[in-house]
Amino acid sequence: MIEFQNVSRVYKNQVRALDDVSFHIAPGEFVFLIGESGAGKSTLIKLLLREEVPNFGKVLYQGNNVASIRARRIPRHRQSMGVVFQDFRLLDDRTVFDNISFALEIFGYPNAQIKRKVADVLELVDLTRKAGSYPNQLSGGERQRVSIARAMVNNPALLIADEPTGNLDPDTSWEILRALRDINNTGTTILMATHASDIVNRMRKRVLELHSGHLVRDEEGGAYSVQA
Amino acid sequence: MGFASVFSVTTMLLMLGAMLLILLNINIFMRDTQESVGDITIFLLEEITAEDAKAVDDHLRDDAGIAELRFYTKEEAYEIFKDSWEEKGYLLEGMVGAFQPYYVVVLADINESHQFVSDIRTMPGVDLVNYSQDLIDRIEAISRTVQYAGIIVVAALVLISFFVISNTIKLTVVAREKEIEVMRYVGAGSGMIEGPFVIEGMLFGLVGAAVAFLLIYLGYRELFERYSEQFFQLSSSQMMHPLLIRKEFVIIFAVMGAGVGMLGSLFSLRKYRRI
Repeated sequence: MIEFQNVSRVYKNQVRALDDVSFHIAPGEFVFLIGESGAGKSTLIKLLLREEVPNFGKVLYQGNNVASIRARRIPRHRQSMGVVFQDFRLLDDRTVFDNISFALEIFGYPNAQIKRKVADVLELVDLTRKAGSYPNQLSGGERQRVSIARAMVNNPALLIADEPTGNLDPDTSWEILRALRDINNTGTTILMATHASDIVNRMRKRVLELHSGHLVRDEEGGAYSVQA
Repeated sequence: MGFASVFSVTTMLLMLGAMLLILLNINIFMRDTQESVGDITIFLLEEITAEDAKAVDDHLRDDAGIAELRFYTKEEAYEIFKDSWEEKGYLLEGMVGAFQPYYVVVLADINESHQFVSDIRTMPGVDLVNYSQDLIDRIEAISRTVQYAGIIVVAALVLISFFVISNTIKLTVVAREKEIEVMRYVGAGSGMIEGPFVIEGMLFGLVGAAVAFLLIYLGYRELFERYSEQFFQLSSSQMMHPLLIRKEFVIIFAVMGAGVGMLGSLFSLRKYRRI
């Protein structure tokens, strides 16, 4: 599903955010992306989302070279992915239902279909009873679950989670991980960038570790031990 | 800020409209005048006595320097003017009383015009003498000045409107930055994201255009009703009737207003156009 082939990303100030990175992620995998701040995790995600293009190498997504996607087709590329952020990025003036349905309304889905899809994802993240609440009425964990629901409402093949537990306490973090695990069990590929060592150690999924732009570890069932 | 956008577009289009009206009327005058270069029009007082009328008539008919002489009663003057308005002539129904009898003189030697005019002006019963030739040069100079000044002023106002609208839309975009970002990440295209803002900018432009049109049309109509007769007497040329320019002005104003609004919006969105 995802393949990085000798990918390097060099910025104008000659900083090599990624340096000759290669890996392959198959459909349905759950992969942790770890590394210290500045290791290149965000750059890797931006390359996948086609916010940036590599200077060297290729990023392939579902067999297609992401860099060669024309500008007008980039939105379509992103529709096949869901993205969850550390800061939730919910719209405070809309209810939980409206925050999720927003992702469907902009594509002109009929109302009946929107209602059904939103109900399905709310059930997935166990927030059906909170559909009419506003973000400021939710806990941190609930807000992140709404964010996950919004990311999933279009049935993406890949869910990218960029530090989804960064603003949450340990117990709430586990709520989120359980939700992500349940999503993964339905066949969605998960790529999660994280600093949460306890989660990585406990879940023992595949680990990709970046250090100063290099891929220093690619380990199935790996633990969290970031290189100094 | 919305009010500022509308106001700047209104001001720009008011200036444009005023300039166009001035130029249109100058062009009509130029056209009418050039058709009658060398014609001298002598208007007689409505209350001229029979004796004075005969004296003027004899003076003109005895003048060997006149190549052509034509006389029009006020009824004939009314009919000529009405015919010149073609299908809009019905607007002048019942206005024959506003016209005066007049002579049209063509001199054999146009260089004698000055002397001829100064002589005829002093005769009792003569109200007004229009002498076109020297006006043409002056009107041409005025027309050029109006054009150049108008272009500069309108261009400046277009730029001002453009930036005011751009800044207004930018404020809206900033206020909705979070929403735009979410739209980008869920895969909304540029059209979906930018569309509402472009429409908002165009609406500002159209509202400004509507206000400007109403002001210019009603203002010009008032001017026309008050001064068209005097204009004809002074220039032997008619002012452009407001109804004749209504449709064209609506189109010009709508296109300019919507255009400036749309371009201003697109300019403010350029930062967010990164994909």
